[in-house]
Amino acid sequence: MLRGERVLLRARTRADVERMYELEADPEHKMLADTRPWVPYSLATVLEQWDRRHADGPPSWNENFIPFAVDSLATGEMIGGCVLWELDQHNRNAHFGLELLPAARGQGYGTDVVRVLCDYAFRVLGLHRVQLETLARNTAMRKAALAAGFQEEGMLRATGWVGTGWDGDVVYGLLAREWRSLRSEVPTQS
Amino acid sequence: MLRGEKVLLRAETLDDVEALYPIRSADVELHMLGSGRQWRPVALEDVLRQASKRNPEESIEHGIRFTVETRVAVPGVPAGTPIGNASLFEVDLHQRLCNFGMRFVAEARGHGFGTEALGLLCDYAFRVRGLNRMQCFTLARNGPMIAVATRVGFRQEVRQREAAWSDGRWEDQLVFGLLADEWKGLSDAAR
Repeated sequence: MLRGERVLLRARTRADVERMYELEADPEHKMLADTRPWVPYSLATVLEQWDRRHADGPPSWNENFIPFAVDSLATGEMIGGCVLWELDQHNRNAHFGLELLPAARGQGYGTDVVRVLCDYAFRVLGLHRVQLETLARNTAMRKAALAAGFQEEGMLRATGWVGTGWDGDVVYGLLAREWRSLRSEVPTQS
Repeated sequence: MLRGEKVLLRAETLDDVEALYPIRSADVELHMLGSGRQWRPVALEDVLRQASKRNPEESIEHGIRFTVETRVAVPGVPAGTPIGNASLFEVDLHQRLCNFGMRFVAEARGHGFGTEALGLLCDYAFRVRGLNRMQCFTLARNGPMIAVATRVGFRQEVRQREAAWSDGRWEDQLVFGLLADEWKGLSDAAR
């Protein structure tokens, strides 16, 4: 598992899926966080899907998708999930995704999650670049990206339908050498 | 088919697949310029077998490959020659957007065929399919693609720094986008 200052990133379990169902069942959240439209799934269906994927032991995700559960170090509670997706071993980059349960938002957890997942992407996986896209209105995600050292690279216009109209996706990128120089400015903890 | 002055876009045949195999699968330099994936050797017989199994019904969501055929002659290219492909792919019917790509044989470049083909592709995507956005990811060193997209009215929206490994080094990747109402404004003005 991966330990930050405030969060722990670890393998997802079946119990996490049950807790995250709160987000799965919320069309407002899905409209902001997913490019696909929300459709109703029962908890039983979500768990059946989980069981199928885990029937032979380790999850049969494709190799381009690396999911984590996020725990708060202070409370030991699961507070959300994060993921590297579209991991591209040729271009050595990946996309970054993050979902926090409503009760855990607005407390600065996001920035620490981004930092820990970047450490994994650059130091453990040896990637060259990590990218993050988020709707322009998602100010919490954008703040967390900037705080972790990402650079804003532009906006894809009209890529997300939100209720009554289109929003754009702001694109953020961070390169391995930028990550290393950010790290060297921070004294390492003993 | 989609008919312009200089080119038409029509369904791809197995003869086209064979004729265009060099630019589709055999040209390493072109592949590094135009594709995000690493080049690997692919045999013509395998490409033909794959193409013969394609189900047109699937293309409604997943993508559409057109053959671009000339309607006029230019030096070295008679009228009626298949000169390349133009395609829509990763069509998202919820977000109403799609990606596009084009690839042409060397003899057919520099005659405005690409610009007209992209215009026909936009007309199809926006007017026929009712999509709201077209986008294209291209390397910053792909001058011809950037020129064609810009001429048709696409705007550069994003520069993804060092997002692609191409020809022995890291390359920036640009994203170009065009929205339905912008396209309507452009095509009304041209009329």
